[in-house]
Amino acid sequence: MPRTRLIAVLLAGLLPQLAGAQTLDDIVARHLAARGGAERWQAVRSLRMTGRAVAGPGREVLVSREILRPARIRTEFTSQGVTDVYASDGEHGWYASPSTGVFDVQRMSPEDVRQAAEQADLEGPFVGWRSKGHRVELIGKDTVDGREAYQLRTTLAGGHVRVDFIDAQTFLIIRTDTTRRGRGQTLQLETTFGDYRESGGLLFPHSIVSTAKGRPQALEIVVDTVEVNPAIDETRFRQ
Amino acid sequence: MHRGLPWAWLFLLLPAMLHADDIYLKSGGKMSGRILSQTETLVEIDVGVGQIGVPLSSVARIEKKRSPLDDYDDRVKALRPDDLNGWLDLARWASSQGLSTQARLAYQKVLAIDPSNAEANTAMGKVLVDGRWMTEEEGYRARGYVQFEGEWMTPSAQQAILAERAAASDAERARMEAEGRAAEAEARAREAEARAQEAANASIALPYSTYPVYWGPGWGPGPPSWPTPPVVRPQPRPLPAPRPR
Repeated sequence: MPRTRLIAVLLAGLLPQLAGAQTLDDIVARHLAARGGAERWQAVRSLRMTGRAVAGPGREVLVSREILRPARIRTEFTSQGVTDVYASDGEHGWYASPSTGVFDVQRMSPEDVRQAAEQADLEGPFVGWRSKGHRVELIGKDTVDGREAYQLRTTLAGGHVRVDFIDAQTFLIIRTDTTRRGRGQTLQLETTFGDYRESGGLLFPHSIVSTAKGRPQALEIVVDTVEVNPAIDETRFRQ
Repeated sequence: MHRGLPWAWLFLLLPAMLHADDIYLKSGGKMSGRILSQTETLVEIDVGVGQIGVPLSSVARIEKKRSPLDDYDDRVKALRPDDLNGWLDLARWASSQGLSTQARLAYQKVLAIDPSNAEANTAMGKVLVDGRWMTEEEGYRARGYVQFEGEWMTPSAQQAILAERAAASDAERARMEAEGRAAEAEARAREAEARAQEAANASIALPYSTYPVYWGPGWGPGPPSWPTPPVVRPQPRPLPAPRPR
């Protein structure tokens, strides 16, 4: 190959880097590194988090969430000393809600079980996304609350679509947009993540605020504690 | 003997009657509060916002322990009515224990001392609009939101829902009409086939002169009801009737 053509080919390969552009794989790799690294995340077997869900002024409940590989999740809500439980072992889901007079176990709907399985993916969809069967596309750049962010659209293996905004400086997710259909309407949900803190060498958001487009109400989860790899009995997820 | 003595006896009995217990349900749920009574079928517990009757058949075990409600009451007794910071601290503590009702009671005491206290007003669900504290609903209205099927939203969000439903309804109607047309075509085909058969059998039967017209199911029904949004904060229900033995 003539020397001039070789130089041109090399320059073309370097051009995106020279221009400050990032490829999808670069962004995902830097995002995973910012959160503690894919290998460290894959080594996590279980998680336990506690905090508060604030649905508005004066409307607050205590929450705890336990996740155990594979795909097992248990969430508890406590208000006025009354604890409701929602759990799934990945195939079946159940709940008990004494706060609403449901004292005995009830089965979750298949849709709720599917959503629970998505939540139980403790490392997030970007770790090994190809092998998980997800499709991730880099849409471009946008500004979120004055911060430049890469916009990634992920079509999960189950068909559900989410759009993540990854901070161009910190490479942490600062917002995720999803669409949910229910009660005769399509809701465009925006979830913002902030107050990232380290636990067990991994970064976790400690403020998670969900809003629906066009609605004034917001649901904020304030995370107080995070335990990485706590001992959790597998029976806690079974009915 | 002093006339008040029988009352003293009652106060001595009170702590024994108001057990501070945890009720663990077989389903995994849990209830903490003060057990008021227990029969062979039902245990009644005061969770600080009302009483809940729990069928004993749903109970895995009961553990006797001190309730945060007791701590709250003790702290209330120790506070002076005008101790602003004391009531604020108590409200924050109750909130951290998941005792939102008790937190609100403490914040009401704060507002009695300082009606413009921002933390207490916010905790009581008030919002500050143009320098005036108002209810959440008044605040939404003042900011131009509308209430639609129990939810507050922008007028454009309401229009989007109505447009989405109208489009879905149109699509359903189009589908039904297409089904109707297909059924009609099928009926015509059957009719032609029958006529051909009748022509073939003319010697043995008279032809039908009319056939019923198939109009199809029309628009179709809408949903029976539009549920209201879920209540994030659990609300204990009134006491259920005991199960018959």
